[in-house]
Amino acid sequence: MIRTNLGRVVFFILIWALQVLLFRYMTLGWEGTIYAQVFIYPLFILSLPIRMRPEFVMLLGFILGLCVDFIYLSPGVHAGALVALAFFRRYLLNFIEPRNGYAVNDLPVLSDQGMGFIATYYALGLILHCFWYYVFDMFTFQSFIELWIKTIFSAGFSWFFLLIIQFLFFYRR
Amino acid sequence: MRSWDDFLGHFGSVLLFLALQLVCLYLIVQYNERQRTIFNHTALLISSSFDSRFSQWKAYFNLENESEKLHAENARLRTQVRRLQREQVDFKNTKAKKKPDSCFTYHPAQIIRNQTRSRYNHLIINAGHSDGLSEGMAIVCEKGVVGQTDFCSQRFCSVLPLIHVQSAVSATIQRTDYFGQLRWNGRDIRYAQLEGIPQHVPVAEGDSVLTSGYSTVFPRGEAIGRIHSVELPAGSNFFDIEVKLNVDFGRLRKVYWIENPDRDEIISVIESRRYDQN
Repeated sequence: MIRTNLGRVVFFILIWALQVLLFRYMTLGWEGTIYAQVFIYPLFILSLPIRMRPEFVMLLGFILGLCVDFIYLSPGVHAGALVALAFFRRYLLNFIEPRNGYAVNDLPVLSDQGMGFIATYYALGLILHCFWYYVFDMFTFQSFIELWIKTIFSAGFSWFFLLIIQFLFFYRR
Repeated sequence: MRSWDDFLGHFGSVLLFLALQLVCLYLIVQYNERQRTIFNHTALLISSSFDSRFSQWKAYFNLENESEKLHAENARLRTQVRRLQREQVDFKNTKAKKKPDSCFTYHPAQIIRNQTRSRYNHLIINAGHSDGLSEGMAIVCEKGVVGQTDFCSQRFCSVLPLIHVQSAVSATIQRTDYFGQLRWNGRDIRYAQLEGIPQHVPVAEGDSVLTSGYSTVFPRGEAIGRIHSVELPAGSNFFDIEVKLNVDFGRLRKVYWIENPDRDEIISVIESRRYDQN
């Protein structure tokens, strides 16, 4: 599905719709502060081809982030975080590259890379994304503890849902 | 061109990343109420601290100018104090003089050359004939008497300070009002010697020594120093008094010269009296 350009466009729209229609409402928090949110849209950036030009990845991230921000009514916050994820994705992929490297047409998804790779990849990517998101969202460094609680909780929940999506759509027997 | 391409190839993505982050930050600050509040507050803090530092620097570089102004202002105020004292005296006098004495005028000047190591020390100040200065005028600073003018050129003037072995200033002890001559023995620039105080005068260490006003040079009551030690030499009728000078000649910079408008008239009186005797 995501191996063709048309497929990626459909995936883009689908994941945006899922995020703003369904996962936007899955939040966890108390006393007026939301401590955990579920972000599945980083999956789009994380699933782009490994050898895609980083500039292009960043532009796609910027566009998707703005689309999400459009519904969340927080212009720039998601976009900034997703651009950061898109920028650091290259280094992340280099960092966790398997011993025998990537095959030419591989995508960083479950069907191509296997469970261990995907779990690590998503965990690191989501922590980065959530951290960046909450830095922009809180816009202050007054409470590092709050920042890290939010980051870890949100990244954890999002990670869980991303893995479920992987098993639903990208699992190949 | 080649190097430019290389540069873009290496850092293009970094530049794009930074650019996009800036765009996002702009959007965040522009369209999110809470973040904008935080941003404005922080910006205010930073800019105000920067402003205050900048104004400190500016003030620092302006100090010379500022002290120049204060110096002139002080001269004006001192003149005014003299005038007010005079008016007070005139007011108390029931028989006021038809033409009251003129009053001393203070003018600012700076020392441009200083010397303390010789027995014949001289200072140079940056005021001269063209400013109205002439020989035999008083030089004081904010702490007390410095000396009197000696030789004047058009723009500069040399000063005979208290720490010159030939200087002599008429001085009184404030508590007793007895007066004597203040001279310097050429040894220590911190101390001068008060001569001619008879032994029956009650003198104590720590008494203030002021100018007496019995000369055409100094107005009455300019501070000179405090009595440091008193000795009565055997067989003498007069005390040996060491006076600790108020003025630290080692670091003198801003001074005032004092104009006495009645000076010429007084001198002519003195001269005619001498003429009489001879």
